[in-house]
Amino acid sequence: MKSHKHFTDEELLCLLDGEAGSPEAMHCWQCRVRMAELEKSVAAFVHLKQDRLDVALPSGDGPASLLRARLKLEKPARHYWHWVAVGLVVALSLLWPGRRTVASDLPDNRITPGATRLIAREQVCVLSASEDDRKPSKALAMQVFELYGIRNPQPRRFEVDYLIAPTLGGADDVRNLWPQPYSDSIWNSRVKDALEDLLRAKVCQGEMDLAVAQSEIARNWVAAYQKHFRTAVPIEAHALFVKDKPWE
Amino acid sequence: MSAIRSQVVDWVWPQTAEKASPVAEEVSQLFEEFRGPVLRYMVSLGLPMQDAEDILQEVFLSLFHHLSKGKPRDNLRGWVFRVGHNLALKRRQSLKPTDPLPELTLTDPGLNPEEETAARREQARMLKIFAALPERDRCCVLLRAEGLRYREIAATLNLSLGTVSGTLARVLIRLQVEPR
Repeated sequence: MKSHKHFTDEELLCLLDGEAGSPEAMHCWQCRVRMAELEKSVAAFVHLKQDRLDVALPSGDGPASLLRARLKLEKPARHYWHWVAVGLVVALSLLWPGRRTVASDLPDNRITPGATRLIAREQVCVLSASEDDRKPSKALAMQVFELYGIRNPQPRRFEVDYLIAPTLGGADDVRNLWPQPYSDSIWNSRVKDALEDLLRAKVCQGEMDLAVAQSEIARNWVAAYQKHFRTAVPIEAHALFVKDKPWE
Repeated sequence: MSAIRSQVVDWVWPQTAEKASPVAEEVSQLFEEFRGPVLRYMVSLGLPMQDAEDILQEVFLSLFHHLSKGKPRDNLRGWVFRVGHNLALKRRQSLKPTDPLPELTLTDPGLNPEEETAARREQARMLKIFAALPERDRCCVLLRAEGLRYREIAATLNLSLGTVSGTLARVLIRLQVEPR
């Protein structure tokens, strides 16, 4: 009679995992018992993992939204002629250097549409000075730079600014922040600070609705400045206005 | 009162409507599908949750470029785990050693105190063995526990199929439940 050759543990596990054949085809009782023992070990490990090793995961809504926003900014891979064109542009810009900007006067509406907190006019008007000095965390600031494609942001060049200022009910949210340059444009963060102060004063004096102030600043703060200060270009004193600290 | 209520807002101002590309849509869907298992795996490698979330974003942005270039799309789960694994190990090198695993808490209401003590002892024993395993072996088992097939584990850890099956069998024998 031909002697029976038992399956090795590795072979039994492959059968169990569906990586080789079907375990139903196995007729040897000894092999089946051994397989049951291996299966018991698998079950014990799964329980160990669930009890001891797995961590509770935070909600995925925020990360999923962030990824969607970042994907919108990503450009699909280009063909070689695209890089040839890019090379030409870079070469020309080196030959004729002009003013280069990495961030503009207005935020990218797709990344920074503006976000507000649940707050009433009365609350806005009694906000403390600390609210005025509120700055986003470094992690949040880095997230903003990343979303805007700014690598290694230079200290004192940008202010990671709230589009809708906290003093006007703006939220501490990445959708309400953008890297505003200090000096690249006449429409810089110092000028915007002056507008924020004016709008808050108007809201608190009852001359303006809070939601309207928020809306105007979110849609186009430059246009809001021109409208409220009745000027096409920033007032000279505002260009020197220093309220917020730069990002460092 | 109504005047105050009319001032209350809590919303995000509307964005410029722009439809995501089909590849971006696909990557977003894969993110929803794989986020949990990949995140758990990266945390089990010793990364803080925030770092794991950061890396996960990088992984899926890389996936977007991978798919945009028309590169192979078979075994995408293995691809995601492999890139996540490599980036996680790289990030871990720059971090301080993590705290040891928390104390065991068993809350199975079906166990009486004696059984609970025995179960706790058994898990402590297994945990000790598991912690003493080489990292590659631990990764193999954790990936299998996350539902990866052998070829996916092999792709993630850059191993042969034979090494994967041999490792899994060896680890399970070491973890084998002791008869009570």
